[in-house]
Amino acid sequence: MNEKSANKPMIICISSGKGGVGKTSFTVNMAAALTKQNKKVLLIDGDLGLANVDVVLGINVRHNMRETIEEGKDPASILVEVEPGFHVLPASSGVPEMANLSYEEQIFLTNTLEGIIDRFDYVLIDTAAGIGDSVLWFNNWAKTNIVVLSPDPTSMTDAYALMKVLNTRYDRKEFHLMVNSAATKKEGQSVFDNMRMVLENFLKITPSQLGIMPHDSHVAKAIRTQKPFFITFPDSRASKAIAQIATTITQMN
Amino acid sequence: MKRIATDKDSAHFFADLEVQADRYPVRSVKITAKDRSLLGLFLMDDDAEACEIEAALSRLAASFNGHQLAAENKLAANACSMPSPDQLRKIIRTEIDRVQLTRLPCSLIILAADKSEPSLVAEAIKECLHHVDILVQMNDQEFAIILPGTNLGKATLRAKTIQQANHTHGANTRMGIAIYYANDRFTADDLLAQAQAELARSQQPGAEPICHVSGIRAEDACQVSVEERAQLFGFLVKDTN
Repeated sequence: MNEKSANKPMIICISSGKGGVGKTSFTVNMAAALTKQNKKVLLIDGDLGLANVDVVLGINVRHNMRETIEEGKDPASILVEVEPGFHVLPASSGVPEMANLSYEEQIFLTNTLEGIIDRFDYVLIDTAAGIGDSVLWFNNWAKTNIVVLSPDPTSMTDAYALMKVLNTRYDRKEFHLMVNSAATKKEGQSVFDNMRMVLENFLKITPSQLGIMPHDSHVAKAIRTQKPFFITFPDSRASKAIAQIATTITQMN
Repeated sequence: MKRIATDKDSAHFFADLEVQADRYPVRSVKITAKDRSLLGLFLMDDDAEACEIEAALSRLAASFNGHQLAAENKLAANACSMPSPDQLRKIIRTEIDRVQLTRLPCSLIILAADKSEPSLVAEAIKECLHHVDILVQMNDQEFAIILPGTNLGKATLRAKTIQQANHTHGANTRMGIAIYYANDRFTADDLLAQAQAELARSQQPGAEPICHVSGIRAEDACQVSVEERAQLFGFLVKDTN
């Protein structure tokens, strides 16, 4: 886990398999929490065809990665500064072609991104749901893989399926699990323990526990106001959990 | 000390360059004069597109005019977009290295066409290729097609497209597909042997025209089994009870 050096950013890919488990909300708030710790953060909207990081953050974007891929536009000129030290690289919404990038386009995109990430301490990628090509590609490009799951059988199955594909086909072995929307800490711990058991039994890999985010009504409220709950409701249970997770991530260096 | 280089020195130099080129992801094309003497060695990045190579070779041909560049050298561009069978193993090795780097799979299709003009078959295949794909003519009837970044599902679809394109030109084709995944540890020769074995299987009476086996192992292995599902959320059922 010692990916981050003095000059290289730590590239973290956040995926979930299933949609709607709070992956984007978690990623946006983690970016805000890392920024508060004086880290320079780049948040890449990896949901290339159905982007919504900009929606969750309430920012207006005029340009996005589609222009980089289709017109060769410099991604540095697309970056949106949310607050000092926190930048977003937006993607397009409602463009099916972007959700299915070709092999050449994927290589072009990551090569282009390599050119702008060095100025940051952390690069967070909020991927699309599912196990499509771009999801797998971003997970392989990143050095650190975070998988978000909730105490829901469909979420657990999809999260496991994602890790199984990444492990079986791409030899990825290190996963950091974040259990979201747990009714109680005990429930969240059970979800993690069970997932670890299945991963150990069948894939022979041991995930690490990144954290447990309790169910918190402030999360939904913050999404409606299009602001990170970490900023709007800093004393909420969710914000405290995010702060702890951000600290854990900085200690991975 | 001043010494004038002789033709023998040049030959040694080029031979050494060729050996070195073999170790890197580059292709080399010999530039020879009409009398078959070696004028130079053209090294190009493996990723260079056929049109770029063609343009570069045209410029080279122009600069070699004084030496009456051999006519067959004009075909070098074609040789680049369709490397020789000798280069096949080297290309596969390069692609395997790339798989390890990008963690994306690579497919190899061996195609056999019956009773057809090889150039027509090659043209039909080329219609279906992307610019990163590599086509190699192995002999009069067999072609190797390397599809970087392509898993079994996509390779099978491409094979069907190639089959259809050839069918349109009146050629019947049989194909064997092998896949190299990031966690595979076999060699270029093994991959080639797997694809050839699948081709042989496709040529058996009553067999499917497109056969594959190696990819199934990895792709099926990704399917979440009933046992895995049972363990995944069995504890939720226990808690509910």
